[in-house]
Amino acid sequence: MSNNNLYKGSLQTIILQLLAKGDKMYGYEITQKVKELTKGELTITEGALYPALHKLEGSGMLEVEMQKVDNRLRKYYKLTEKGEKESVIKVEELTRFVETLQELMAPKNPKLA
Amino acid sequence: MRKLAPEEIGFIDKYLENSEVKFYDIRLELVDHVAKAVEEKMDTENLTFYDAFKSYMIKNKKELIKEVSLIKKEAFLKVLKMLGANLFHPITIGVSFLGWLFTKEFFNTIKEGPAFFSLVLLFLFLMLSLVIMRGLLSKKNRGKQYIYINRLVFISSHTFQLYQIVFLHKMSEHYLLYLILYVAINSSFLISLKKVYDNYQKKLLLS
Repeated sequence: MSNNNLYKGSLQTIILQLLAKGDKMYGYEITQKVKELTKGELTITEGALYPALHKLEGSGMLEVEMQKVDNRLRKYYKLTEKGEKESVIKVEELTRFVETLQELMAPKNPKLA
Repeated sequence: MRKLAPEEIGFIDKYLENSEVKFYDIRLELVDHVAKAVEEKMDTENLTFYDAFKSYMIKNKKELIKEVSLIKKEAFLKVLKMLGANLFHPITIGVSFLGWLFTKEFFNTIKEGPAFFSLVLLFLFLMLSLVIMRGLLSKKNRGKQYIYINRLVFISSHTFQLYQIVFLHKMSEHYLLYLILYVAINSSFLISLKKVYDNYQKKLLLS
């Protein structure tokens, strides 16, 4: 992932959120979607993406579907019921975190801060 | 968009296999990733397959290798947890109980002593594991390495070596306890192996 480590802790939430919005996605598709949505601001590398996907799959939040596409096997990921619930919780957590951070960086009432 | 030919896909697969991505289950996902990236590069930058592949690899090879080591760590921890949990599986408890009964009844009749008995058990276990693994893996899949099976065998073989070093020389004192522990560990390994296999089969990685 580029843009130093700021996004690192949010990678699982980003993946869950992308899958919650769409149907099933494969690894390369996720990297491109993130790039497109953030207008190139955020790049997910293979070294970060696949371990995160495997972790989410291992914890039962994602399920896998294999399909033969263009002479090769493609591994699609989709949310499980547990993953759908977790996605909502994680997005709420992240939103709260961003709000807290904003309050810290640019307080609405600087005198009280 | 130009689609890669089977030989080009095979080339990527072989390259990754020779670049430390030896596990088939990880590699097949990376082959698709690299192939898709190369196809896009060929289109957008008007490159030949080899130029696009070379350009992609120069930039991303380090990340690909890093990925494998991170997934290996993740698989190691997952398998360790699975082995621990399966120590309390009803089958493990049942087999250990039978082992206890058998050992209690017949151990004293074996003149050669506990070390010999342990070696006999080891041999039987290895034979059983081999038969189960060969049975589980079809001919088509035998040459391939799967990360969870690899980690499982890695942990189990090291556990056994540790067991031999730490416990074997003490076995004459508490032979029953050590042998039951040994049976339980092996039973947990075989149950975990079956679970890992079922999971691979569910994902259609094993045929």
